[in-house]
Amino acid sequence: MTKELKMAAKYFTAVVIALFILTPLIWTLLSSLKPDSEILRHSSRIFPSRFVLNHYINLFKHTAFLSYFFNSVFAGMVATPLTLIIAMPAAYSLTRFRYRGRNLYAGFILFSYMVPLLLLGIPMFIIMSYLHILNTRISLILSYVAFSLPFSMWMLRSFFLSIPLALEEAAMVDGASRLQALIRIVLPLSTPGLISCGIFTFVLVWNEYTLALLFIRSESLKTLPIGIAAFIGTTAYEWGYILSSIMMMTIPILFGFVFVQKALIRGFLVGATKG
Amino acid sequence: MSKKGERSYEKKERRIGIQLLLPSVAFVGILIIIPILYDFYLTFHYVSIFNPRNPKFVAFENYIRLLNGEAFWSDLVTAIIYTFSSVALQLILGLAVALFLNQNFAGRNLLRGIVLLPYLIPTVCVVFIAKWMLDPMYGIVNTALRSFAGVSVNWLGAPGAAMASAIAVNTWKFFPFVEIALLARLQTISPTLYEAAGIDGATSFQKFTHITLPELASVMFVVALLRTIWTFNDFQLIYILTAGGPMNSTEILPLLAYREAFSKGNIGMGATVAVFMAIFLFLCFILYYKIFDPLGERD
Repeated sequence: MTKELKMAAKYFTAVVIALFILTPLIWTLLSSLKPDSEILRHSSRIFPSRFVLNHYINLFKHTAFLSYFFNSVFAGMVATPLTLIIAMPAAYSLTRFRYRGRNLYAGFILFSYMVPLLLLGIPMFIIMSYLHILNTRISLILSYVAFSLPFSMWMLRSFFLSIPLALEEAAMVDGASRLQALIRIVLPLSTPGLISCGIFTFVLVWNEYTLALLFIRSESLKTLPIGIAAFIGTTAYEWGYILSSIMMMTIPILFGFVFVQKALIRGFLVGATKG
Repeated sequence: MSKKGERSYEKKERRIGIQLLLPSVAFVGILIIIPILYDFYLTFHYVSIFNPRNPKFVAFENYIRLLNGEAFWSDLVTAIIYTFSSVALQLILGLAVALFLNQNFAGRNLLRGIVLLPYLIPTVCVVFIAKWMLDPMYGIVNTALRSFAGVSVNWLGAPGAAMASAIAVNTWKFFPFVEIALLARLQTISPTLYEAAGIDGATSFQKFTHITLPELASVMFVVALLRTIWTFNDFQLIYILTAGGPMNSTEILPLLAYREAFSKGNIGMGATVAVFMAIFLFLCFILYYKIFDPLGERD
Protein backbone atom coordinates (compact mmCIF):
# COMPACT_ATOMS: atom_id res chain seq x y z
CA MET A 1 0.00 0.00 0.00
CA THR A 2 1.31 3.40 -0.83
CA LYS A 3 1.83 5.96 1.81
CA GLU A 4 -1.05 8.09 0.61
CA LEU A 5 -3.41 5.15 0.62
CA LYS A 6 -2.39 4.27 4.15
CA MET A 7 -3.01 7.83 5.29
CA ALA A 8 -6.39 7.88 3.59
CA ALA A 9 -7.35 4.61 5.24
CA LYS A 10 -6.34 6.01 8.61
CA TYR A 11 -8.49 9.08 8.22
CA PHE A 12 -11.38 7.07 6.93
CA THR A 13 -11.20 4.80 9.98
CA ALA A 14 -10.94 7.81 12.24
CA VAL A 15 -14.07 9.27 10.75
CA VAL A 16 -15.92 5.99 11.04
CA ILE A 17 -15.03 5.71 14.71
CA ALA A 18 -16.02 9.30 15.38
CA LEU A 19 -19.35 8.77 13.64
CA PHE A 20 -19.96 5.59 15.59
CA ILE A 21 -19.67 7.55 18.82
CA LEU A 22 -21.17 10.87 17.83
CA THR A 23 -24.10 9.90 15.64
CA PRO A 24 -26.44 8.90 18.48
CA LEU A 25 -25.57 12.07 20.36
CA ILE A 26 -25.94 14.42 17.43
CA TRP A 27 -29.13 12.74 16.31
CA THR A 28 -30.61 13.15 19.77
CA LEU A 29 -29.54 16.77 19.86
CA LEU A 30 -31.08 17.49 16.49
CA SER A 31 -34.25 15.66 17.43
CA SER A 32 -34.56 17.64 20.60
CA LEU A 33 -34.62 20.84 18.58
CA LYS A 34 -37.35 19.72 16.22
CA PRO A 35 -40.97 20.64 16.63
CA ASP A 36 -43.29 17.83 17.67
CA SER A 37 -44.70 17.42 14.21
CA GLU A 38 -41.30 16.47 12.92
CA ILE A 39 -40.28 14.16 15.73
CA LEU A 40 -43.37 12.02 15.62
CA ARG A 41 -43.19 10.90 12.05
CA HIS A 42 -42.47 7.56 10.55
CA SER A 43 -39.78 8.87 8.31
CA SER A 44 -38.15 11.99 9.57
CA ARG A 45 -35.66 14.14 7.84
CA ILE A 46 -32.25 14.55 9.35
CA PHE A 47 -32.19 18.27 9.88
CA PRO A 48 -35.06 20.12 11.45
CA SER A 49 -36.87 22.44 9.10
CA ARG A 50 -36.77 24.94 11.89
CA PHE A 51 -35.08 24.86 15.26
CA VAL A 52 -37.34 25.15 18.26
CA LEU A 53 -36.53 25.38 21.89
CA ASN A 54 -39.93 24.62 23.24
CA HIS A 55 -39.04 21.13 24.45
CA TYR A 56 -36.40 22.61 26.67
CA ILE A 57 -38.62 25.39 27.85
CA ASN A 58 -41.45 22.98 28.59
CA LEU A 59 -39.02 20.75 30.40
CA PHE A 60 -38.37 23.51 32.89
CA LYS A 61 -41.87 24.88 32.97
CA HIS A 62 -43.99 21.76 33.10
CA THR A 63 -41.85 19.15 34.75
CA ALA A 64 -39.92 18.93 37.97
CA PHE A 65 -36.63 18.84 36.09
CA LEU A 66 -35.13 21.69 38.04
CA SER A 67 -36.01 19.93 41.26
CA TYR A 68 -34.40 16.71 40.06
CA PHE A 69 -31.34 18.68 39.01
CA PHE A 70 -31.07 20.36 42.39
CA ASN A 71 -31.46 17.05 44.21
CA SER A 72 -28.70 15.44 42.20
CA VAL A 73 -26.36 18.38 42.71
CA PHE A 74 -27.13 18.42 46.41
CA ALA A 75 -26.48 14.70 46.76
CA GLY A 76 -23.20 15.02 44.91
CA MET A 77 -22.06 18.07 46.84
CA VAL A 78 -22.69 16.44 50.18
CA ALA A 79 -21.67 12.85 49.49
CA THR A 80 -18.41 13.72 47.71
CA PRO A 81 -16.63 15.66 50.48
CA LEU A 82 -17.91 13.19 53.06
CA THR A 83 -16.47 10.33 51.08
CA LEU A 84 -13.15 12.08 50.62
CA ILE A 85 -12.88 12.98 54.28
CA ILE A 86 -13.40 9.38 55.30
CA ALA A 87 -11.35 7.83 52.54
CA MET A 88 -8.27 10.00 52.81
CA PRO A 89 -7.02 9.08 56.27
CA ALA A 90 -7.73 5.45 55.48
CA ALA A 91 -5.73 5.59 52.26
CA TYR A 92 -2.93 7.41 54.02
CA SER A 93 -2.91 4.91 56.82
CA LEU A 94 -2.86 1.97 54.43
CA THR A 95 0.17 3.28 52.60
CA ARG A 96 2.27 4.85 55.31
CA PHE A 97 1.94 2.56 58.29
CA ARG A 98 2.47 -1.10 58.94
CA TYR A 99 0.16 -3.21 60.99
CA ARG A 100 -1.49 -6.56 60.93
CA GLY A 101 -4.44 -6.97 58.62
CA ARG A 102 -3.44 -4.06 56.46
CA ASN A 103 -3.39 -6.06 53.26
CA LEU A 104 -6.52 -7.84 54.27
CA TYR A 105 -8.29 -4.55 54.60
CA ALA A 106 -6.99 -3.35 51.25
CA GLY A 107 -8.26 -6.52 49.66
CA PHE A 108 -11.61 -6.02 51.27
CA ILE A 109 -11.84 -2.56 49.75
CA LEU A 110 -11.30 -4.03 46.33
CA PHE A 111 -13.98 -6.60 46.94
CA SER A 112 -16.55 -4.16 48.24
CA TYR A 113 -15.99 -1.96 45.19
CA MET A 114 -17.57 -4.70 43.15
CA VAL A 115 -20.52 -5.43 45.37
CA PRO A 116 -23.74 -5.39 43.38
CA LEU A 117 -25.99 -2.54 44.35
CA LEU A 118 -29.00 -4.75 44.99
CA LEU A 119 -27.01 -6.78 47.49
CA LEU A 120 -26.56 -3.54 49.40
CA GLY A 121 -29.88 -2.04 48.49
CA ILE A 122 -32.31 -4.69 49.67
CA PRO A 123 -31.03 -4.95 53.25
CA MET A 124 -30.47 -1.20 53.39
CA PHE A 125 -34.08 -0.78 52.46
CA ILE A 126 -35.19 -2.76 55.47
CA ILE A 127 -32.69 -1.15 57.79
CA MET A 128 -33.78 2.29 56.71
CA SER A 129 -37.37 1.30 57.16
CA TYR A 130 -36.57 0.36 60.75
CA LEU A 131 -34.83 3.68 61.26
CA HIS A 132 -37.69 5.52 59.59
CA ILE A 133 -35.34 7.29 57.24
CA LEU A 134 -36.67 5.81 54.03
CA ASN A 135 -37.51 8.44 51.48
CA THR A 136 -35.30 11.09 53.03
CA ARG A 137 -32.21 12.88 51.82
CA ILE A 138 -30.18 11.22 54.56
CA SER A 139 -30.94 7.76 53.23
CA LEU A 140 -29.63 8.77 49.85
CA ILE A 141 -26.48 10.46 51.13
CA LEU A 142 -25.63 7.57 53.43
CA SER A 143 -26.05 5.00 50.72
CA TYR A 144 -24.07 7.10 48.26
CA VAL A 145 -21.20 7.44 50.71
CA ALA A 146 -21.36 3.69 51.26
CA PHE A 147 -21.19 2.95 47.62
CA SER A 148 -18.48 5.47 46.71
CA LEU A 149 -16.17 4.77 49.64
CA PRO A 150 -14.55 1.60 48.31
CA PHE A 151 -13.62 3.09 44.99
CA SER A 152 -12.41 6.33 46.54
CA MET A 153 -10.27 4.50 49.06
CA TRP A 154 -8.78 2.35 46.36
CA MET A 155 -8.09 5.31 44.10
CA LEU A 156 -6.58 7.43 46.86
CA ARG A 157 -4.51 4.52 48.04
CA SER A 158 -3.06 4.22 44.56
CA PHE A 159 -2.29 7.92 44.44
CA PHE A 160 -0.63 7.84 47.84
CA LEU A 161 1.39 4.82 46.82
CA SER A 162 2.79 6.82 43.95
CA ILE A 163 4.11 9.52 46.29
CA PRO A 164 7.52 8.32 47.42
CA LEU A 165 7.89 7.73 51.11
CA ALA A 166 11.40 9.13 50.84
CA LEU A 167 10.07 12.66 50.54
CA GLU A 168 8.37 12.56 53.90
CA GLU A 169 11.24 10.72 55.49
CA ALA A 170 13.63 13.38 54.29
CA ALA A 171 11.40 16.04 55.79
CA MET A 172 11.19 14.18 59.07
CA VAL A 173 14.93 13.73 59.17
CA ASP A 174 15.11 17.50 58.85
CA GLY A 175 12.97 17.76 61.95
CA ALA A 176 9.42 17.96 60.68
CA SER A 177 6.75 16.06 62.56
CA ARG A 178 4.62 13.52 60.77
CA LEU A 179 1.74 15.94 60.68
CA GLN A 180 3.88 18.67 59.15
CA ALA A 181 5.19 16.24 56.58
CA LEU A 182 1.64 15.33 55.77
CA ILE A 183 0.45 18.88 55.34
CA ARG A 184 3.46 20.34 53.60
CA ILE A 185 4.45 17.47 51.35
CA VAL A 186 1.86 14.78 50.89
CA LEU A 187 -1.21 16.98 50.63
CA PRO A 188 0.06 19.28 47.89
CA LEU A 189 1.36 16.32 45.91
CA SER A 190 -1.83 14.38 46.21
CA THR A 191 -4.08 17.28 45.22
CA PRO A 192 -4.53 16.06 41.65
CA GLY A 193 -5.45 12.68 43.07
CA LEU A 194 -7.94 14.19 45.47
CA ILE A 195 -9.49 16.23 42.71
CA SER A 196 -9.73 13.23 40.40
CA CYS A 197 -11.28 11.22 43.16
CA GLY A 198 -13.72 13.98 43.97
CA ILE A 199 -14.79 14.31 40.36
CA PHE A 200 -15.18 10.58 40.01
CA THR A 201 -17.30 10.36 43.10
CA PHE A 202 -19.47 13.23 41.98
CA VAL A 203 -20.01 11.63 38.59
CA LEU A 204 -20.85 8.31 40.25
CA VAL A 205 -23.47 10.00 42.38
CA TRP A 206 -24.80 12.03 39.47
CA ASN A 207 -25.41 8.88 37.44
CA GLU A 208 -26.70 6.69 40.22
CA TYR A 209 -30.09 5.15 39.62
CA THR A 210 -30.66 1.89 41.47
CA LEU A 211 -30.34 3.02 45.08
CA ALA A 212 -32.36 6.13 44.46
CA LEU A 213 -35.04 3.97 42.87
CA LEU A 214 -35.23 1.86 45.99
CA PHE A 215 -35.12 4.56 48.62
CA ILE A 216 -36.92 7.57 47.19
CA ARG A 217 -40.66 7.73 46.66
CA SER A 218 -41.49 11.42 46.88
CA GLU A 219 -41.44 13.41 43.72
CA SER A 220 -39.74 16.31 45.48
CA LEU A 221 -36.71 14.26 46.47
CA LYS A 222 -36.11 12.47 43.20
CA THR A 223 -32.71 12.78 41.62
CA LEU A 224 -32.17 13.29 37.90
CA PRO A 225 -31.85 9.68 36.78
CA ILE A 226 -35.00 8.59 38.57
CA GLY A 227 -36.93 11.69 37.67
CA ILE A 228 -36.30 11.60 33.98
CA ALA A 229 -36.70 7.84 33.81
CA ALA A 230 -40.30 8.46 34.76
CA PHE A 231 -40.83 10.40 31.55
CA ILE A 232 -41.09 7.05 29.90
CA GLY A 233 -44.47 5.97 31.06
CA THR A 234 -46.24 2.84 30.06
CA THR A 235 -48.18 4.25 27.14
CA ALA A 236 -47.27 7.24 25.07
CA TYR A 237 -43.78 8.52 25.62
CA GLU A 238 -43.31 12.21 26.02
CA TRP A 239 -40.51 12.41 23.54
CA GLY A 240 -40.06 16.15 23.77
CA TYR A 241 -39.27 15.96 27.47
CA ILE A 242 -37.20 12.85 27.08
CA LEU A 243 -34.97 14.26 24.36
CA SER A 244 -34.39 17.59 25.99
CA SER A 245 -33.75 16.03 29.39
CA ILE A 246 -31.13 13.72 27.89
CA MET A 247 -29.29 16.73 26.54
CA MET A 248 -29.68 18.71 29.76
CA MET A 249 -28.28 15.87 31.79
CA THR A 250 -25.46 15.09 29.40
CA ILE A 251 -24.17 18.54 28.53
CA PRO A 252 -22.82 19.43 32.01
CA ILE A 253 -20.86 16.19 31.99
CA LEU A 254 -19.44 16.96 28.58
CA PHE A 255 -18.41 20.45 29.64
CA GLY A 256 -16.84 19.14 32.79
CA PHE A 257 -15.04 16.52 30.79
CA VAL A 258 -13.43 19.04 28.51
CA PHE A 259 -11.91 20.72 31.53
CA VAL A 260 -10.81 17.73 33.52
CA GLN A 261 -9.86 15.26 30.83
CA LYS A 262 -6.43 14.51 32.13
CA ALA A 263 -7.53 13.93 35.70
CA LEU A 264 -10.33 11.63 34.59
CA ILE A 265 -8.11 9.48 32.45
CA ARG A 266 -5.73 9.05 35.32
CA GLY A 267 -8.67 8.02 37.42
CA PHE A 268 -9.78 5.38 34.94
CA LEU A 269 -6.42 3.77 34.87
CA VAL A 270 -6.24 3.51 38.61
CA GLY A 271 -9.38 1.46 38.52
CA ALA A 272 -8.40 -0.69 35.60
CA THR A 273 -4.83 -1.59 36.30
CA LYS A 274 -2.87 -2.96 39.15
CA GLY A 275 -1.82 -0.54 41.91
CA MET B 1 0.89 -5.89 72.89
CA SER B 2 4.43 -5.26 71.68
CA LYS B 3 5.95 -7.26 68.91
CA LYS B 4 9.29 -8.83 69.41
CA GLY B 5 12.07 -6.30 69.32
CA GLU B 6 9.69 -3.46 68.61
CA ARG B 7 10.67 -0.08 69.88
CA SER B 8 8.17 2.26 71.48
CA TYR B 9 8.37 4.55 68.45
CA GLU B 10 7.24 1.80 66.16
CA LYS B 11 4.51 0.83 68.53
CA LYS B 12 3.27 4.39 68.54
CA GLU B 13 3.37 4.45 64.74
CA ARG B 14 1.26 1.36 64.58
CA ARG B 15 -1.26 2.88 66.92
CA ILE B 16 -1.52 6.08 64.91
CA GLY B 17 -1.93 4.08 61.75
CA ILE B 18 -4.74 2.07 63.20
CA GLN B 19 -6.38 5.16 64.65
CA LEU B 20 -6.36 6.82 61.26
CA LEU B 21 -7.91 3.77 59.74
CA LEU B 22 -10.61 3.32 62.33
CA PRO B 23 -13.22 5.84 61.17
CA SER B 24 -13.26 4.45 57.66
CA VAL B 25 -13.35 0.90 58.97
CA ALA B 26 -16.34 1.89 61.07
CA PHE B 27 -18.09 3.46 58.12
CA VAL B 28 -17.39 0.65 55.74
CA GLY B 29 -18.38 -1.81 58.40
CA ILE B 30 -21.68 -0.16 59.11
CA LEU B 31 -22.57 0.75 55.57
CA ILE B 32 -21.35 -2.30 53.71
CA ILE B 33 -20.63 -5.31 55.91
CA ILE B 34 -23.73 -5.06 58.01
CA PRO B 35 -26.08 -4.82 55.04
CA ILE B 36 -24.41 -7.79 53.40
CA LEU B 37 -24.65 -9.88 56.55
CA TYR B 38 -28.21 -8.73 57.02
CA ASP B 39 -28.95 -9.80 53.47
CA PHE B 40 -27.85 -13.33 54.38
CA TYR B 41 -30.04 -13.18 57.43
CA LEU B 42 -32.99 -12.08 55.29
CA THR B 43 -32.61 -15.03 52.96
CA PHE B 44 -33.70 -17.34 55.74
CA HIS B 45 -36.88 -15.44 56.42
CA TYR B 46 -40.09 -14.49 54.80
CA VAL B 47 -40.28 -10.70 54.87
CA SER B 48 -43.06 -8.83 53.20
CA ILE B 49 -42.45 -5.35 51.89
CA PHE B 50 -45.71 -4.25 53.46
CA ASN B 51 -44.62 -5.49 56.83
CA PRO B 52 -40.84 -5.19 56.80
CA ARG B 53 -40.38 -5.27 60.52
CA ASN B 54 -41.89 -8.71 60.91
CA PRO B 55 -39.62 -11.37 59.53
CA LYS B 56 -40.81 -14.93 59.69
CA PHE B 57 -38.18 -17.62 59.89
CA VAL B 58 -38.45 -20.12 57.04
CA ALA B 59 -34.99 -21.71 57.02
CA PHE B 60 -34.02 -22.81 53.52
CA GLU B 61 -37.43 -22.46 51.93
CA ASN B 62 -36.41 -19.43 49.88
CA TYR B 63 -33.42 -21.22 48.46
CA ILE B 64 -35.40 -24.35 47.66
CA ARG B 65 -38.20 -22.46 45.96
CA LEU B 66 -35.78 -20.33 43.99
CA LEU B 67 -33.67 -23.20 42.75
CA ASN B 68 -36.71 -25.32 41.96
CA GLY B 69 -38.40 -22.53 40.08
CA GLU B 70 -37.90 -21.86 36.42
CA ALA B 71 -37.23 -18.16 36.65
CA PHE B 72 -33.84 -18.44 38.31
CA TRP B 73 -32.37 -20.86 35.81
CA SER B 74 -33.73 -19.19 32.70
CA ASP B 75 -32.58 -15.82 33.98
CA LEU B 76 -29.17 -17.31 34.68
CA VAL B 77 -28.91 -18.49 31.08
CA THR B 78 -30.05 -15.07 29.87
CA ALA B 79 -27.46 -13.44 32.09
CA ILE B 80 -24.69 -15.64 30.77
CA ILE B 81 -25.61 -14.97 27.15
CA TYR B 82 -25.91 -11.25 27.76
CA THR B 83 -22.70 -10.98 29.74
CA PHE B 84 -20.58 -13.15 27.52
CA SER B 85 -21.70 -11.45 24.31
CA SER B 86 -21.36 -7.96 25.67
CA VAL B 87 -17.93 -8.49 27.15
CA ALA B 88 -16.64 -10.27 24.05
CA LEU B 89 -17.82 -7.45 21.82
CA GLN B 90 -16.38 -4.82 24.12
CA LEU B 91 -13.01 -6.56 24.18
CA ILE B 92 -12.85 -6.82 20.40
CA LEU B 93 -14.04 -3.28 19.78
CA GLY B 94 -11.93 -1.84 22.57
CA LEU B 95 -8.83 -3.62 21.33
CA ALA B 96 -9.35 -2.58 17.75
CA VAL B 97 -9.92 1.06 18.65
CA ALA B 98 -7.03 1.09 21.10
CA LEU B 99 -4.67 -0.31 18.47
CA PHE B 100 -5.84 2.30 16.04
CA LEU B 101 -5.52 5.16 18.51
CA ASN B 102 -1.99 4.11 19.30
CA GLN B 103 -0.90 5.26 15.88
CA ASN B 104 -0.04 8.73 14.81
CA PHE B 105 -2.29 10.94 12.82
CA ALA B 106 -3.62 14.44 13.02
CA GLY B 107 -6.61 14.82 15.32
CA ARG B 108 -5.67 11.69 17.20
CA ASN B 109 -5.94 13.30 20.61
CA LEU B 110 -9.31 14.72 19.77
CA LEU B 111 -10.49 11.29 18.73
CA ARG B 112 -9.15 9.80 21.93
CA GLY B 113 -11.32 12.23 23.84
CA ILE B 114 -14.36 11.52 21.70
CA VAL B 115 -14.04 7.79 22.21
CA LEU B 116 -14.45 8.24 25.96
CA LEU B 117 -17.81 9.94 25.64
CA PRO B 118 -20.12 6.93 25.90
CA TYR B 119 -18.53 5.92 29.17
CA LEU B 120 -19.04 9.36 30.66
CA ILE B 121 -22.62 9.87 29.66
CA PRO B 122 -25.01 8.72 32.39
CA THR B 123 -26.46 5.29 31.75
CA VAL B 124 -30.00 6.69 31.88
CA CYS B 125 -29.19 9.01 29.02
CA VAL B 126 -27.52 6.32 26.95
CA VAL B 127 -30.49 4.03 27.41
CA PHE B 128 -32.91 6.80 26.49
CA ILE B 129 -30.91 7.60 23.39
CA ALA B 130 -31.11 3.94 22.49
CA LYS B 131 -34.85 3.87 23.11
CA TRP B 132 -35.22 6.89 20.89
CA MET B 133 -33.20 5.44 18.07
CA LEU B 134 -34.73 1.99 18.36
CA ASP B 135 -38.33 3.07 18.70
CA PRO B 136 -40.36 0.89 16.32
CA MET B 137 -42.30 3.79 14.87
CA TYR B 138 -40.22 6.92 15.19
CA GLY B 139 -36.73 5.61 15.66
CA ILE B 140 -34.13 6.35 13.09
CA VAL B 141 -32.93 2.76 12.88
CA ASN B 142 -36.27 1.50 11.70
CA THR B 143 -36.71 4.50 9.46
CA ALA B 144 -33.46 3.65 7.72
CA LEU B 145 -34.34 -0.03 7.59
CA ARG B 146 -37.67 0.74 6.01
CA SER B 147 -36.13 2.94 3.33
CA PHE B 148 -33.36 0.54 2.43
CA ALA B 149 -34.78 -2.89 3.15
CA GLY B 150 -38.48 -2.40 3.52
CA VAL B 151 -38.57 -4.09 6.92
CA SER B 152 -38.74 -2.86 10.44
CA VAL B 153 -37.78 -4.66 13.60
CA ASN B 154 -39.37 -4.33 16.99
CA TRP B 155 -36.04 -3.74 18.68
CA LEU B 156 -37.23 -3.59 22.22
CA GLY B 157 -40.45 -5.52 22.01
CA ALA B 158 -39.41 -8.81 20.46
CA PRO B 159 -37.45 -11.31 22.56
CA GLY B 160 -34.39 -11.94 20.36
CA ALA B 161 -34.14 -8.37 19.14
CA ALA B 162 -34.42 -7.02 22.67
CA MET B 163 -31.45 -9.07 23.77
CA ALA B 164 -29.48 -7.90 20.76
CA SER B 165 -30.37 -4.32 21.57
CA ALA B 166 -29.30 -4.72 25.18
CA ILE B 167 -25.98 -6.20 24.12
CA ALA B 168 -25.46 -3.37 21.64
CA VAL B 169 -26.22 -0.68 24.19
CA ASN B 170 -23.94 -2.27 26.76
CA THR B 171 -21.15 -2.52 24.21
CA TRP B 172 -21.49 1.07 23.02
CA LYS B 173 -21.56 2.44 26.53
CA PHE B 174 -18.72 0.45 28.04
CA PHE B 175 -16.20 -0.36 25.33
CA PRO B 176 -14.28 2.88 26.09
CA PHE B 177 -13.38 1.39 29.45
CA VAL B 178 -11.62 -1.47 27.68
CA GLU B 179 -10.15 0.86 25.12
CA ILE B 180 -8.55 3.25 27.52
CA ALA B 181 -7.03 0.55 29.67
CA LEU B 182 -5.57 -1.18 26.62
CA LEU B 183 -4.33 2.06 25.11
CA ALA B 184 -2.54 2.97 28.31
CA ARG B 185 -0.82 -0.39 28.30
CA LEU B 186 -0.01 -0.18 24.61
CA GLN B 187 1.76 3.09 25.17
CA THR B 188 4.15 1.48 27.61
CA ILE B 189 5.33 -1.13 25.14
CA SER B 190 8.75 -0.08 24.03
CA PRO B 191 9.00 0.50 20.27
CA THR B 192 12.43 -1.11 20.23
CA LEU B 193 10.73 -4.46 20.76
CA TYR B 194 8.98 -4.04 17.45
CA GLU B 195 12.09 -2.75 15.76
CA ALA B 196 14.12 -5.71 16.91
CA ALA B 197 11.44 -8.08 15.72
CA GLY B 198 11.36 -6.29 12.38
CA ILE B 199 15.09 -6.72 12.02
CA ASP B 200 14.64 -10.40 12.67
CA GLY B 201 12.16 -10.52 9.83
CA ALA B 202 8.84 -10.62 11.65
CA THR B 203 5.69 -9.70 9.75
CA SER B 204 3.14 -7.27 11.13
CA PHE B 205 0.90 -10.12 12.06
CA GLN B 206 3.70 -11.89 13.88
CA LYS B 207 4.56 -8.71 15.72
CA PHE B 208 0.98 -8.49 16.81
CA THR B 209 0.67 -12.05 18.04
CA HIS B 210 4.10 -12.36 19.61
CA ILE B 211 4.61 -8.93 21.11
CA THR B 212 1.40 -6.97 21.36
CA LEU B 213 -0.96 -9.67 22.53
CA PRO B 214 1.25 -11.10 25.27
CA GLU B 215 1.98 -7.62 26.57
CA LEU B 216 -1.73 -6.88 26.67
CA ALA B 217 -2.80 -10.21 28.09
CA SER B 218 -2.86 -9.27 31.73
CA VAL B 219 -4.71 -5.99 31.21
CA MET B 220 -7.19 -7.68 28.94
CA PHE B 221 -7.87 -10.28 31.56
CA VAL B 222 -8.46 -7.74 34.31
CA VAL B 223 -10.68 -5.64 32.11
CA ALA B 224 -12.64 -8.66 30.93
CA LEU B 225 -13.17 -9.81 34.49
CA LEU B 226 -14.28 -6.41 35.71
CA ARG B 227 -16.68 -5.94 32.83
CA THR B 228 -18.04 -9.43 33.38
CA ILE B 229 -18.76 -8.73 37.02
CA TRP B 230 -20.31 -5.38 36.32
CA THR B 231 -22.43 -6.61 33.44
CA PHE B 232 -23.67 -9.70 35.25
CA ASN B 233 -24.62 -7.73 38.36
CA ASP B 234 -25.87 -4.56 36.69
CA PHE B 235 -29.46 -3.58 37.24
CA GLN B 236 -29.86 -0.15 35.70
CA LEU B 237 -29.21 -0.64 32.01
CA ILE B 238 -31.61 -3.48 31.33
CA TYR B 239 -34.23 -2.25 33.74
CA ILE B 240 -34.56 1.11 32.02
CA LEU B 241 -34.18 -0.36 28.55
CA THR B 242 -36.64 -3.24 28.71
CA ALA B 243 -37.56 -3.78 32.37
CA GLY B 244 -36.68 -7.43 31.83
CA GLY B 245 -37.75 -7.54 28.27
CA PRO B 246 -40.70 -8.92 26.48
CA MET B 247 -41.80 -11.86 28.59
CA ASN B 248 -38.71 -11.80 30.80
CA SER B 249 -36.45 -12.56 27.87
CA THR B 250 -33.91 -10.00 28.97
CA GLU B 251 -34.30 -10.50 32.69
CA ILE B 252 -31.00 -11.07 34.43
CA LEU B 253 -30.47 -11.85 38.09
CA PRO B 254 -30.47 -8.30 39.47
CA LEU B 255 -33.83 -7.72 37.86
CA LEU B 256 -35.17 -10.95 39.28
CA ALA B 257 -34.04 -9.83 42.73
CA TYR B 258 -35.79 -6.52 42.25
CA ARG B 259 -38.94 -8.13 40.92
CA GLU B 260 -39.16 -10.58 43.79
CA ALA B 261 -38.45 -7.98 46.44
CA PHE B 262 -40.38 -4.98 45.19
CA SER B 263 -42.94 -6.16 42.67
CA LYS B 264 -43.97 -9.34 44.38
CA GLY B 265 -43.12 -7.87 47.75
CA ASN B 266 -41.09 -10.85 48.91
CA ILE B 267 -37.94 -9.29 50.31
CA GLY B 268 -36.53 -12.54 51.58
CA MET B 269 -36.64 -14.04 48.12
CA GLY B 270 -35.07 -10.94 46.60
CA ALA B 271 -32.29 -11.20 49.14
CA THR B 272 -31.80 -14.82 48.15
CA VAL B 273 -31.29 -13.94 44.50
CA ALA B 274 -28.85 -11.24 45.61
CA VAL B 275 -26.86 -13.88 47.45
CA PHE B 276 -26.34 -15.75 44.23
CA MET B 277 -25.15 -12.58 42.59
CA ALA B 278 -22.66 -12.27 45.45
CA ILE B 279 -21.52 -15.85 44.97
CA PHE B 280 -20.79 -15.13 41.33
CA LEU B 281 -18.84 -12.04 42.31
CA PHE B 282 -16.91 -13.96 44.91
CA LEU B 283 -15.91 -16.64 42.40
CA CYS B 284 -14.69 -13.98 39.99
CA PHE B 285 -12.79 -12.28 42.75
CA ILE B 286 -11.03 -15.45 43.75
CA LEU B 287 -10.09 -16.00 40.12
CA TYR B 288 -8.72 -12.46 39.94
CA TYR B 289 -6.77 -12.83 43.12
CA LYS B 290 -5.31 -16.17 42.14
CA ILE B 291 -4.04 -15.03 38.79
CA PHE B 292 -2.99 -11.58 39.79
CA ASP B 293 -1.78 -10.29 43.00
CA PRO B 294 -3.36 -6.88 43.31
CA LEU B 295 -1.83 -6.24 46.68
CA GLY B 296 1.69 -7.17 45.64
CA GLU B 297 2.08 -9.62 48.49
CA ARG B 298 3.84 -12.40 46.64
CA ASP B 299 6.89 -11.27 44.76
